[in-house]
Amino acid sequence: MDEPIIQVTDLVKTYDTGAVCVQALRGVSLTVAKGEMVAIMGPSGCGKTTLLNCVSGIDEPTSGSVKIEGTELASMDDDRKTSYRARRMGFIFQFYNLLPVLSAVENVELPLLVSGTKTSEARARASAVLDHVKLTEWQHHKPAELSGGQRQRVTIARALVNHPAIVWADEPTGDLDSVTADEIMTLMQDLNEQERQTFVIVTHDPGIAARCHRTVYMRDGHIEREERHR
Amino acid sequence: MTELFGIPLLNFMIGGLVLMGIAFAVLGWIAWKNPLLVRMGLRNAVRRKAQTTLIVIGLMLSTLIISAAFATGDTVGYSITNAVYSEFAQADLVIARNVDRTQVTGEGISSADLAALKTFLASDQDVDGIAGIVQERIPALNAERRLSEPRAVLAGVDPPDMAGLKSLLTPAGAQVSPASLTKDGVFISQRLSEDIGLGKGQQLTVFANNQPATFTVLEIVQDNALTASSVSGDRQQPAGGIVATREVVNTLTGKGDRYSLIVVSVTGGFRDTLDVVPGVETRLKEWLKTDGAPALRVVSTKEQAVSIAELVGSIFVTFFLLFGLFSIAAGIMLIFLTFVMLAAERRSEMGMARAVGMKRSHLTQSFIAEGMAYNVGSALIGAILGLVVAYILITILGNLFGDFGLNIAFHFNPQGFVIAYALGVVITFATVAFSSWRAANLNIVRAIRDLPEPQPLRGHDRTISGLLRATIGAAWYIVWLLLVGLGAALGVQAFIFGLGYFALPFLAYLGVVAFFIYGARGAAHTRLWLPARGAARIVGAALSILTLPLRILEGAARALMSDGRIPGRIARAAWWVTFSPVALITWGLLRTRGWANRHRNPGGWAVVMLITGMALTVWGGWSIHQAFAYTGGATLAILAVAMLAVYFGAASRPAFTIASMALLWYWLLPLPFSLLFEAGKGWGDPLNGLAGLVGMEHEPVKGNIEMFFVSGLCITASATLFVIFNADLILALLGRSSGVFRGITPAVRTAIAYPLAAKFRTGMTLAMFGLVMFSLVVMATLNHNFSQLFLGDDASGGFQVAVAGNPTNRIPDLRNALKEAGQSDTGITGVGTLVQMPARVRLAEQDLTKTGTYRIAGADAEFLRVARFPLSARADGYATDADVFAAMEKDPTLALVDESRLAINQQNPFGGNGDTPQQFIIERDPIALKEQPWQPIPAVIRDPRTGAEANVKIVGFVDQAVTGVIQDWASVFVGRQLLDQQFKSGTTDLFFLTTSDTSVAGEKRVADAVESALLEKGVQASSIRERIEDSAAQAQAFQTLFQGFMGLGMIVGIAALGVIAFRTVAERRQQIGMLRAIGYSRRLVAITFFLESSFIAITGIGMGLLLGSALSYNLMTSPDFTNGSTIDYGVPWGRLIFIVSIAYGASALMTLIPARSASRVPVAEALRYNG
Repeated sequence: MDEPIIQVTDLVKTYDTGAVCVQALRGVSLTVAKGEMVAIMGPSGCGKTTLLNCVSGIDEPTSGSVKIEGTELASMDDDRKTSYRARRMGFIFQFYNLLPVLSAVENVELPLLVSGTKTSEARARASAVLDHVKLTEWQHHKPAELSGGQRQRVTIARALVNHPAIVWADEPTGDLDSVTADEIMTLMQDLNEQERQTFVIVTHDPGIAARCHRTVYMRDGHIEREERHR
Repeated sequence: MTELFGIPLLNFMIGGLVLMGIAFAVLGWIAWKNPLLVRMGLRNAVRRKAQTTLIVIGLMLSTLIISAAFATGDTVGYSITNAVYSEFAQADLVIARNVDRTQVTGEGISSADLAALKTFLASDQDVDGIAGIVQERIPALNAERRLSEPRAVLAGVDPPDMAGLKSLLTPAGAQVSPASLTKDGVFISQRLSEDIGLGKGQQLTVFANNQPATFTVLEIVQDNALTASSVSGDRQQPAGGIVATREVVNTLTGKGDRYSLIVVSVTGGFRDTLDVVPGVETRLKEWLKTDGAPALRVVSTKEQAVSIAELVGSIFVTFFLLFGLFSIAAGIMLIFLTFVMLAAERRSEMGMARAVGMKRSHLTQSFIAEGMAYNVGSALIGAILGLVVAYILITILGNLFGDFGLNIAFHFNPQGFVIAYALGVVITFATVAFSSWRAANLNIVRAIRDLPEPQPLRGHDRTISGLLRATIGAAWYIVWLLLVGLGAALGVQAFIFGLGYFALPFLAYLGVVAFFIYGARGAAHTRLWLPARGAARIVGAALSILTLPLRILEGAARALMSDGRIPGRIARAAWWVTFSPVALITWGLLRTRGWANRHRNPGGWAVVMLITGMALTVWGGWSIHQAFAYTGGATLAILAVAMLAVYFGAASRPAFTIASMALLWYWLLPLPFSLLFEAGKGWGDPLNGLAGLVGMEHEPVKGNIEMFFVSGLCITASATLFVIFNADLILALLGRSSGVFRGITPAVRTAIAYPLAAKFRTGMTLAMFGLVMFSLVVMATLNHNFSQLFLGDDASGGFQVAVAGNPTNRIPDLRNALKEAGQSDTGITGVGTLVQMPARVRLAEQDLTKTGTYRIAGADAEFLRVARFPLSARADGYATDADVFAAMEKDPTLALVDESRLAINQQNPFGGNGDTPQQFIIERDPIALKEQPWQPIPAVIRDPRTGAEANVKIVGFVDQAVTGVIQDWASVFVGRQLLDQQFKSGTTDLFFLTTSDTSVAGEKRVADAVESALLEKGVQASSIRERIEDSAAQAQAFQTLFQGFMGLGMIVGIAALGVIAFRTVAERRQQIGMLRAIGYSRRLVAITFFLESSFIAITGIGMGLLLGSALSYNLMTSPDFTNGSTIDYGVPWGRLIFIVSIAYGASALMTLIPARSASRVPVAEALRYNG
């Protein structure tokens, strides 16, 4: 196994709504190797998305430790975490979360512009990634003019345009039909193999999970079991 | 104040209350029928407190402005009325020498005339006092403290007569007996006592005919018309007075046994005689005309003065309301925008509600309930804050009016407050109802899935027959609204007038009741009628109680039409027979509603707009010659053409870009030509130019101050369309120059992309900002340029110091007088003398009845040599202004007239009463006189005292820039010899000096030296430059006040930005989460939102600045607007920078809060957010 890129130890996340305290994660420990493609599965409310949010640094855990590429997330302030996300992470969401007022290529180049890339270079790289996900002809269309599959490919392009070390995908095929979902999964698998990028995918679909290297099953805020496929 | 626009305030109040009652009745009906909808509305209102606060601020603005306008006008009216009462005191009618244009009237009123008048009024029960008074202006001095008043009013009274008037009161209000006046003892008024520091028992020195006389002050009395400044018109220089016996005054002035005026007191007190005065006045006028003294006339009555005071109050209200129209319009747009945004926010839940069975009317009702929840409170807060704003305005006005001797005290009439509240509620209700109705028209599937709406203007059926059907469908709606409006208007009219005049409301009332009952029957098929039915019940019930006899008729109508005892067909037939026209239309509309709704579309509306626009253009241009209809119609037609182009498939951008550019060009003509070509100055009306090609030119259209508002609306709307449809070009431009922005490039990109994607809301906000900025820029620029015109260097006329002599102490030669007073070295380098007198003037071609009153000024040679009066027009044969002055030196019968006399149809703004003397007017076109050669105009001047006449020739007109400050220069100028020889050397001496030291301080020193040297002669000397600066400061203060009031609209624009900013943060919560996830820092998120608001604010401000400046330039370079004066157009940079800074600064502050809250959105939470 390659060196670990994600190391999670005893992660706890409690939501305090004032009236009730909900323990979403109850001491989760997990290690993901560089270049590995891991699926996280489990019933609704088991803590999959919470785990992904806490590990990717967009939410704060109540206790426990998260190390990404050997660096403790808790030691970074918000600005450093944000900058780290911009440079080393990519995100794919179930409902795409594209900016409706920008075209496909403008959406894709956003992370590059944020991390200070020149406009012309950002545009060239965004076009290249869109070409890679077979959307060259659609790059100047706005999200409303694209199909669900095309939108998700734009999201993937946006997640990959920075050549991130880790790609986080929350139900990437949840809003798609089976044929399109299969295409998207194939695309992610190809990228994983070609670019050696680490993928952490939250999914309900056993078919998707089966195409990853490993599946982590969660229940009631902790990891129930793991299953290695490849 | 009791009237506005000539309509009693009570009527406004009742009308407002009835309309407000209808609004509340609709709300009550909704609450009764669908309480859940009201609950939904109310809960939505309290969901987001910050947003609700902003909505309330926006909603209250209209009410605030109306309330402030009423309270300000009320205060001014009330204060002037108070001043009138205290000035008139017990004097109800004032009689003076006749100024009949055809008669020689002599000087003063004779004792015989007074005696005859006393005899006539002796038997009049309504009269309890008559007194003759002689008044003169003389210098008064406290010799001990060397304090003086150069123009104190010396009033000579007959003590027995004066006692009857009971108008001599101590400051504490105690009566003072005039019998205590002696030949050595006088009373002085409170103002004089304070001005020269003189108290009871001290010595007062006065100078008459250049001789001193000393008196003991017996008593201090209140200032009023009898003791101080005169009611016969000389209010320009309020001054304290001295009351002495008439014998004393006659001895001092040596003018013989004459009275200046006669005062008549009507039975009653100070304030309760207004009803009696007109009767006495009529009897008196009749007697004066027939048997009595034709040389006398009633110059003023307390009743007239009070009604003028009230008129001034209502003029103030009108003025403030007019200037507040921009803010009110912006406020209405904000209300509309707010509800459109609320609807957009709840689009999917509204779609869901429709899917589960809610009707469109339910959604409308829910919004109306929510709107009314905001409305009730915000209107009340607005009305109260209006009083606060008025109080501030009054305080500032009080300081300004203080210089005119008017004491302003805050006062408001509860009627004005109620009207403001009711109008605020009604305006908001109407806007909310319209926007709610619009919001409820949604497609269920698109709403639930949050899909974008298709291009709303694009037609599905683009055939001519389809368009015709759509047009009929749209026209149906207009007729329907007109009919409902007519019914409501009849109801209100019946309610207002029905109490007093039963004959009038009979048909109206019956019509309304039957109309609504029939409408209610139709409600079984249509929900639209439900509010009307509710309203009809309320109106019906109110009328039934108040007009009991008509209750029987209502019952009959109900029996006929609703209870079924009579078959429906017969009932309808009976109804038609009685109200057939309305019935037929109503029935027809009800039957065709479904058809009309199916076919009505934007294409139909565009055709209706086109027809209406064309009809208005033709009507306004070729029939009534009114700019309002003419220009408004053309604007409507051009927009309609663009809409039709899109309907038939043209792309929106070119269609609206071309239309908006055409409109801007149309409204801003002669720009750009006037900037580029001299010939372009003739450009102004392209439509008329086109019509002229086929020989159908129309007469010039006329417009008043309302055109300021109309032009503002049309220009801003056109510019907004242009910006909205083309601003993405800015985005492209920024894309190319993103290197400039470096780290914030993504923020700049989204900050422009989002506003451009939401065209409607961005356009509305831009229009709000643009409109208010436009109004402020135009006001500031016009004020600046007019100030420059009237208060510029020309206002000094080439002189540095003005010296006004006293009529009772004439000074034939100022240099000699100064030498005699021991002041030979005063730094004076030149003395121009004007000898002035009031006279009667007419053009030689006119008959005696056209004679008007005006001042005549005889200028000596030095005055003519030194004066630098630019002339706006010269007669043929005079190449330069200098030629005119040189000719006048040689020929004293050549005359110059100030330009203000050149007015066509100039009227007395207060209407006059037939006895008011008409002023001398020359009915010539100022522009034609300036541009075309003309021959000297012969005129005749007559001395009203002696009847002596002199023929003169008018050879030039003095530019109005000269008369802005020195009012005495508003005269007919002739050579001094003419007055010396023909008119007994006039009545007053005026001297205008040039000085060696031309600084303001130097001018003041000379003025002080002259005044001090000639103290005993009662001269008043002043630095002209200082007077110009004082006038400029006063004008500036007024302008700032009005601009401050108009600037209230800016709050609307800023509130709109706030509403949008808060709304966008809520709407884009999930997107903010995503942006943060992909690497946007908090700072970048905040910058994105801040820039987004800034983009709108800066564009709106820039738009207003550009358009306002363009229109101002056009106006100030148009001879029609400046009455022929040439103005050096200037930009008030300082003021504009101040306005822009305040506008942008406040909007930036407003958007900082939502921008900050956007940056603090928790990422994971936001990504889960579903709205």
